[in-house]
Amino acid sequence: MASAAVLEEISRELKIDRKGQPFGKVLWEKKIKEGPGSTPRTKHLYQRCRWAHTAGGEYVREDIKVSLERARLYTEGHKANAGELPIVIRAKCLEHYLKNCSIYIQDEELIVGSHNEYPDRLELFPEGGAKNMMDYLEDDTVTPPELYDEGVKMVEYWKQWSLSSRCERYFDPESLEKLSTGVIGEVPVWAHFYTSTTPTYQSVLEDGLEKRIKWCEDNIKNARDKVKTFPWRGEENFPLFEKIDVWEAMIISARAVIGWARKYSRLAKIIAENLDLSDSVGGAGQRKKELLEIADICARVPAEPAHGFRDAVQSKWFCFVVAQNIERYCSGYSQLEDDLLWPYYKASVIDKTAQPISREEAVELIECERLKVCERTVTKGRWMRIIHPGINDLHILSIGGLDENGNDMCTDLTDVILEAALNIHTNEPSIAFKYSPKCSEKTRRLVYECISQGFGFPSIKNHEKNFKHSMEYHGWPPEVAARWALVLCMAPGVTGRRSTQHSRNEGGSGIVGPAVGTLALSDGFDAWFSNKQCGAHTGDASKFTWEDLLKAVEEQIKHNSQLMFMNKEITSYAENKWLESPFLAMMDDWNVEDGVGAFQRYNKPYTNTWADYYPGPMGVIDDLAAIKYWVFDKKKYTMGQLLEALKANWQGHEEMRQEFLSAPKFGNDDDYVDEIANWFFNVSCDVWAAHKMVGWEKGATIVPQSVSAFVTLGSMIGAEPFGRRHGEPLHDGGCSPYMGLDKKGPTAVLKSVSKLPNERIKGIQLNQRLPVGLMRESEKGFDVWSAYMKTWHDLKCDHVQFNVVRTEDMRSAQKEPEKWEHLIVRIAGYSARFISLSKMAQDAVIARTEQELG
Amino acid sequence: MPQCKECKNFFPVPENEWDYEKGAGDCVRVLRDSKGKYWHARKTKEEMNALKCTDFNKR
Repeated sequence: MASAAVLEEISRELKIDRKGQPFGKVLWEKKIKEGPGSTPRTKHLYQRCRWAHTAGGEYVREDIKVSLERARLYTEGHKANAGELPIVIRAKCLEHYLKNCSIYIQDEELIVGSHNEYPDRLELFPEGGAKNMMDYLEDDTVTPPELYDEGVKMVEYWKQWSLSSRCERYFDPESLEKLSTGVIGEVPVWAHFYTSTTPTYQSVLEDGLEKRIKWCEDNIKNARDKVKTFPWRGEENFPLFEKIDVWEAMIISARAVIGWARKYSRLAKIIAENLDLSDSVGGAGQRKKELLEIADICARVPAEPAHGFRDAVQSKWFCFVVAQNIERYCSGYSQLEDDLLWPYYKASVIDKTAQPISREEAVELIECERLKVCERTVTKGRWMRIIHPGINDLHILSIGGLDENGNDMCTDLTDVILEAALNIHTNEPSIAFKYSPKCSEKTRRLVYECISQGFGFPSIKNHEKNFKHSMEYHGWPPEVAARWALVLCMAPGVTGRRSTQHSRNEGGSGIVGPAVGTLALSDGFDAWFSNKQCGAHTGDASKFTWEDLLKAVEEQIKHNSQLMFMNKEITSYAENKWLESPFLAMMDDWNVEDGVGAFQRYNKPYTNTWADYYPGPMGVIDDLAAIKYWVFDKKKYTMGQLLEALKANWQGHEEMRQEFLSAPKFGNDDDYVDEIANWFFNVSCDVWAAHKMVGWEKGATIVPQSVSAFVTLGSMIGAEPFGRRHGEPLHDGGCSPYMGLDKKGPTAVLKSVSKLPNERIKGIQLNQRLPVGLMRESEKGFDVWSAYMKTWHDLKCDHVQFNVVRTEDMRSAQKEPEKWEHLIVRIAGYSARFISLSKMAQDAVIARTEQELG
Repeated sequence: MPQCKECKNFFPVPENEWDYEKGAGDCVRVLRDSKGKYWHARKTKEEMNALKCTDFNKR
């Protein structure tokens, strides 16, 4: 389709009358004038959306409060079943909760299902441990005083049973202390109870839970028949007893989920048939019809296979609520949504063979889904809340890409998902686009229009690069590798019916990138935040040669990553033994076939062992380049003088700081520093590969990225040799140049990035800022951006995401936030409402270099 | 003493439901807050003392 025709079609679908104006400009003005939402329903739902995001670790809306319903019911369930096997206890706790929990349906909703007692309520997870529970209970801005004593009693009860207590016993005190500082890496899962997963929705949508229950029952029957077979075979039969327990736990969980979904069916029917609906946006008659349809859908799914689009969206939502909000809190919204839902969309919208609906109704349903995500309240630990300002959670779905034969996987549903995002203007869920030049022009145009509206998403991942990496480094077969979706911000994971990533302990967690450089200069001692020996002893840096310095950095990488991988595997062991998720397991074909829990990783068909640097380590590269330049090449300063200046946080050494700032910097296509970057990442990849996690002999792969940690962890990382002072923001992303220090334009940035060993790196985050005038207000924006993307793709870069926002708009939003509630910016890995960011984070976004294209 | 089963908000759980227990019912209320209206259901028992229930609405 020619470009003009594509634009006409999109304009028609989005009801944009361009009158010769650039599309993006007209859409922006329409949004300002009419507000988000393509229908009266979604306009209403947007206006009353219960945003649940945090800023500075605190919930922005005062209405967000703690409830103890989940904690109470899980505690009751645990007490009543304490003699059972751990996985059966987990299933019975879920059953007890789903049987007795409150439910609610909000006005105008088309998708139902929630994880909390009332809207705006935070549910707690006492089985995680005392730290996170107490942090919430002692915060009287969220916990009503009447709940405090009951909550403390629960903490006492769970002390001996919690994930924290199960894990801490395996650490020596020194390692425990180092991990707890937060300086060298992510705070452990058992401390902040933060994890992530990719539920295998496809199996539930295709089979329905009743069929999967039958599968488990057959497995139990076969196992019982096997052990009766003459003659006795102990080696074969012994493992079957544990599998029987797992299958029974799966059955309990799945039956409970079906029953819980049917509670919604019952409620919808009661409302439709008994209660006043006269104030509904579409009128009482219309709302009654909708509620009866909801009742019908919830009676059938997820028990039965989904037939049409409404079934599929509802079934997926129910599974998400249970697997990621009730059974366990899990971050993310991981799925390849267009591929997953396409058969149901096709049946309903195109073929009209099941639940026939119009394309506009499908767009509205996706808008409703986006709003539902924006209302999700989560209770992750404070360290995580602090590095995720402006959002509820890291909600990122993936779309696009090519199949294993190189055919475009973009469909009309891909375009519907993007059009819904354009209409409803929410920052969550973020979207990752699996970019290939072979993807349809209409889809690429819609991706561009979302970016030009300033959403910061879709973030772009190179499909071909990630397809190849998934096959070569993880061993996934082509048909699996082609259907990757991001697990959280940056790392591809398996989708489909089997062997997806279930825990952050398989793929995730990370070490703080800049710390491996600063600790190498201080013999591993952190004098800036914890005042503790966090890193390895690597000697007195004042006596270092250049080679000594590189060796010390490498030792710090090894030391910190060793602690991280040890912690991941200890937590994984404890989760599998004590804190299983039987419903998540029941969704996955491999777990049902083999009768193993969700966190089992031995003999897993497709593994995904990776970990982050976050924030990214580019500060180390600029630090090393500045030291090499001024200390070892120019010999103007000694290492001793540099360490004195750093100890003084550069105070009294401004002239020297300016010289170190002027040393070669990454992002300017300068081999002097780019070669150091290449060395650093190759060493890091070697170290990661040396760590062999359970289930994968090739070792782990690396994902440098930052979320908002580049701002919030600035207070933990001391002064850096490249010129940064303690407390100032760190490098953002995984390979973004430092703000304002990339001076040679966007192509030079891409060329520097292309010199990294990208083929070895699983994902590496690049943030770029582009001008509003070109992207939103110019007819040539799409062509210029497409040329940029061609260069990016030709250079085999992994990732890029864009901010398209005016400095003056951000300044205005700082002064009058109430007028700029709609302003969204890209942080790094996710998009946030600008007004919810800290002043420091806002300033860091403003300070990013605005690249000129064309 | 008023009981839950005498209230208009009480809807007995049908016998064929997964969460059926003898005398169990849903207490369904229309609730409103600054963000809008929603219908809330929580478990109750028909013999439950409703004397202190501020939402008690006799049939």
